[in-house]
Amino acid sequence: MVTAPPISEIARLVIALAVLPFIFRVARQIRMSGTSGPWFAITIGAVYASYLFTIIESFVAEPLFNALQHSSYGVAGVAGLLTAIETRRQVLEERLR
Amino acid sequence: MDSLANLGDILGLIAFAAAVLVTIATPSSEGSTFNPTTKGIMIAAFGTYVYVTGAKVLGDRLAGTYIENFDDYIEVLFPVLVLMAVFAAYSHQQMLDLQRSQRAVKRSYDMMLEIVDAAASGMMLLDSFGRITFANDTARAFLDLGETPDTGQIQTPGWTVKCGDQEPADDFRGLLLDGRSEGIPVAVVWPKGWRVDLRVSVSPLSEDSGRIGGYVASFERPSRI
Repeated sequence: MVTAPPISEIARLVIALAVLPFIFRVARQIRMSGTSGPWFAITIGAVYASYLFTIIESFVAEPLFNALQHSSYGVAGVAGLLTAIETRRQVLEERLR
Repeated sequence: MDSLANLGDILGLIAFAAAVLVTIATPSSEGSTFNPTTKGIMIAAFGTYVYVTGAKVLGDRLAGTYIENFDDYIEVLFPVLVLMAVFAAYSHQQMLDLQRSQRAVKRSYDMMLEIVDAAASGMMLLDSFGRITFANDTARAFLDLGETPDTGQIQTPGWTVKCGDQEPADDFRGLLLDGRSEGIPVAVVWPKGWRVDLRVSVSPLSEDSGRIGGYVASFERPSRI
């Protein structure tokens, strides 16, 4: 059965999409060595995917998209942790120089 | 499907909590792009998802409570916090670049000043009225130039300057010519009657607008009479 997604979920996606171009525009200008950049992009991508899946599940294949939404949290968490570890490695390397 | 969803939530909770701890343990400093502001915002961003995934893991136990109802709203903070973090890092990077270039310019200026001060020739910068705005050590020593302590303006001992056929003046206004000139005869007369004859070369300095913004004057050390 198709039910309309809660307004809060749509509003969340709209706000997230409105902010996205600014994140990419500014982040591209930050000089980053190592792999923290790609992990950071995966974190954001997985979080945005969860926003999208939670809306899609209201229209189609609810169990599948619900599982994808929650799996996205796991992917985002792991990528976020790798971002933090890589950032720490870069900062410590920078201090040694 | 439900077990996959639960696994995702639990993995997310553990990983985001670990990300918060790793970020807390990462040293930040004002001299690095990872400054305290960026660090604080990153902790808040990861912390947002500790809350969200934690609320999902606890699930039924939180049903109907504020904690469960808030997670949709808390989640919206994440992209905003990420934008704040990258903007803080970028602004700080710009500031560090600016500080680095200022230090490089100062090093270059100090080096040029040392070269100019070490020169055997007297060198001066004149403003568009003929007043001395800068003099190297040789010119300062030879023309008895001092400095006002408060403003750093150059002070003369009260001598008068006669450039070529022009009337004597208390500055070098007689050197304000349109083009580059060499060997202009200049007589500097001290109040006590000392007189020095100089051969001065002068060259105008152009501003960005093309107007003459001042002059560079130089002379070889003659002997006092």
